[in-house]
Amino acid sequence: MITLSKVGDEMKKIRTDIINLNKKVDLPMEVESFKGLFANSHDCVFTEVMINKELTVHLVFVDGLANCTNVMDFILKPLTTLEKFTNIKDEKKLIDVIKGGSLYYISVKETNDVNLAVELLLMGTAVLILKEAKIAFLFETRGFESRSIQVPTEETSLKGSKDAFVETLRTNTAMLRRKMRTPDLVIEELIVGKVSKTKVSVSYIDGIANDQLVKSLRERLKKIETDQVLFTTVIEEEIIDSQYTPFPQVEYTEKPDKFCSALLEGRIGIIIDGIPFTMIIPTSIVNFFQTTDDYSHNYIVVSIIRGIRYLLAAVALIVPAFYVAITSFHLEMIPEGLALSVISTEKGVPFPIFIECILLSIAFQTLIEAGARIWSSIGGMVSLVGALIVGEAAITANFISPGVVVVVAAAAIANYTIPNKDFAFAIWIWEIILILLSSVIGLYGMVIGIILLIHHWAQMEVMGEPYLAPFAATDGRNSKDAIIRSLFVFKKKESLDEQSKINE
Amino acid sequence: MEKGKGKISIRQVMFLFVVTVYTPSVRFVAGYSAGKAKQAAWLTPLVTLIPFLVLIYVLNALLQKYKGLSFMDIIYDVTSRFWGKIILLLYLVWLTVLLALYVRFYAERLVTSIYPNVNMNLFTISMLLIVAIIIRAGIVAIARMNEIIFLIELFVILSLFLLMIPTIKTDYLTPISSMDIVPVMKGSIGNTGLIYITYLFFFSDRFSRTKEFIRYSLYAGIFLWLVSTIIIITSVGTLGHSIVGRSPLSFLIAVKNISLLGVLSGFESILVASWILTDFILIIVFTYSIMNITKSLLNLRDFKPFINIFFVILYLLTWILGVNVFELQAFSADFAIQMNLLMQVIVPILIFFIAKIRKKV
Repeated sequence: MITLSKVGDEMKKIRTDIINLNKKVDLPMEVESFKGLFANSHDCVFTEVMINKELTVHLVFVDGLANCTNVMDFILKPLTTLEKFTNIKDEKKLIDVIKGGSLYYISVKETNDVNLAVELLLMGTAVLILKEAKIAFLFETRGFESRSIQVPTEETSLKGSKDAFVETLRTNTAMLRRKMRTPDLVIEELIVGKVSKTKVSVSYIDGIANDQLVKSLRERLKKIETDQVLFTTVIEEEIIDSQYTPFPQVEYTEKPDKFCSALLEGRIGIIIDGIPFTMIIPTSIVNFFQTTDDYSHNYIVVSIIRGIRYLLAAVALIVPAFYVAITSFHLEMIPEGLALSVISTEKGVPFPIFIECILLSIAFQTLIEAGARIWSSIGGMVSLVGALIVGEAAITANFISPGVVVVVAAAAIANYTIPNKDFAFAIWIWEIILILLSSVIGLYGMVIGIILLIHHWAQMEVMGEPYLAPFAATDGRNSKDAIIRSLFVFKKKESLDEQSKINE
Repeated sequence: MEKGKGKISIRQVMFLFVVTVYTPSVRFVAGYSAGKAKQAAWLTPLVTLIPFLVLIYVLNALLQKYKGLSFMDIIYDVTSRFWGKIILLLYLVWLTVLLALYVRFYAERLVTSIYPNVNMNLFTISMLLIVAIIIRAGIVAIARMNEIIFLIELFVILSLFLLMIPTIKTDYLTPISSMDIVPVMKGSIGNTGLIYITYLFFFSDRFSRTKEFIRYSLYAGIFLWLVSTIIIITSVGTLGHSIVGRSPLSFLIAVKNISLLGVLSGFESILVASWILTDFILIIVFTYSIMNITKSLLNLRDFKPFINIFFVILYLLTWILGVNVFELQAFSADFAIQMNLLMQVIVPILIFFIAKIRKKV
């Protein structure tokens, strides 16, 4: 036991133990223990509540995390004004009265464990300490300021629902429950992060999601050793299989309808407290080409649009490299008129075509990055300056030929049509690789690059699911919704469990 | 998804089969068939379906009896270990020669089509290097890659066929009469020699869902019949049988004739690019089969340490096979096709009969 007099260095050490090593400390349930732990924290409120002349208790809560009005109205006020409390002479009687429900609060917990009390205190709980009895009552008084549900900012929807996830975990899980009123919707919670102690929720539909997959994810999450979960990649990098790839392996969404739809497909969702973006796994290449709006429009229109998306992704990937290959190595392959036009536009430009392509491609990404980071008040300037520099001045100064501008711009615009920006960025990286390869040996180099890219995808798996599914490795299952969106009436919801039964 | 780790489904096997057959078909079938069957060359793939069905029946019987075993194990069980080793040695030698032929053809085709005056070593060595790297990922990754390459190939061949329709002259494909029966039969030997399904059985221990073998084989057979017919119709229909029978890359020449709306041309670049993809699949699949035979013959645990040595031998062999493309073509038409018929059709049928006599199937 640590005596109360040794608050100074001893307490610092204990605090360090709690934070760094997640070690359980053995402290008595007294207000001094809390005062020691939160010695320098001005947001931690210690209130001495004098119930009557003979009985005093201590109330501890964190200002900002706990709802002060609730603390006052439902804990402090009854304790100091209700006769059934003011007449109490000893703590034993007080405990009985509280246990009897006189402090009518939804969630009241009794404990003598300081570790538990501290943990809950930091989540917004008010701790009522009874010194003689060495116990505390924990009142669920959580009530911090949070952002209200708003329209999604990154995933616009024309006909779909307009609500988006927020930073508060419980609000997010409530949104899920509102959309899927079934007891089969399981929302498990884990605490991840030694310091941040962030709540991470794992959601799935029992009976549809693959049990093995859920178990595997749960184990991976439990194994995470990190101080904080303030960013999604902390979780993502621990649960994915292929680390050395620019391609995303986790699908992010801020839309509850998309999240629920994924759960119904047998996938698993992860919600992190404090982050308004949720994660969905497992994913495959096809998920990065679909949007929730695909299910809000006519299936024929959507099928055509989806087909165009794939085609444009191929354009973004291949066209600049193809242009470099053809103009640098195989001019004889293009019609004479076109060949002459290409040659004439290259006159006076000091760089080889592949350098032009790479420079311009990087310039486009620079514009995107600048547009994303710049203050909104001057955001419009980026496109203006970009268009002037890239479009006009560079050509006039003979830095870049108009042909290259057309090709790279077409590829860049095609790239923007990929709904998932992480995937689009990975495609851009491979676009550069293909340009480099085709600059070495033309068409052959480009095809070698494509082989390497397909091999890269073929090797990738997310939680055991092939990245190329359903185009490869699924024997055609689930391909109904890959490019051509089938009618809902014909769409059979085939769970992963059913699939595994078929596999058997 | 593939059943179990390291296994590929029969559907994936059939995709591998289709792509490995497509590659030499484009190069060889139109010329060989047109040389033998003239304007009736486009009927030769239909005749090939007969030996194909017989082979499928035989292979299915063996596959169902010897579930989870490779063709090497089947040969050992049916013929005894000693004779099995001899048969496998023959397969090893022949498959290595065939692979060397295809590696050389692949390089020759690039040089003659879009890379004149470029040293062939560049293409040979770089391809072998890439195959040496990727083969280590195993048959599962290769099969997945092939499924994507198959889709690309399908898109390319159908697009080109649609674009070539205006250039096809029916006069080059008719008349057809009973006089063409014998030439068509002779012409079909070329197609039959390319039924490479037996060579895929050297990793049949990696097959899953073997019960679906007949169904998917029939799909593959019909698909190949259609593709071969399209290739022959477009080549012979555009250029005529006399030119096709004499030119080494008749399909490429036919594609060169495409002109969309009289403005866009140069579609052969797309064809050549797609050929590199299918050549890669052919080379890697044959290498995988050879590696499996080697592993079985030498009782190795893993073939990976042997890959680099094998590729050095293979590289040297590509130069020994022939001085130029004409020698390679002569070797292909006069020897390789007959050897293929023996090794991939007759030997499996013989093994099946021996197994029948010994009441193993």
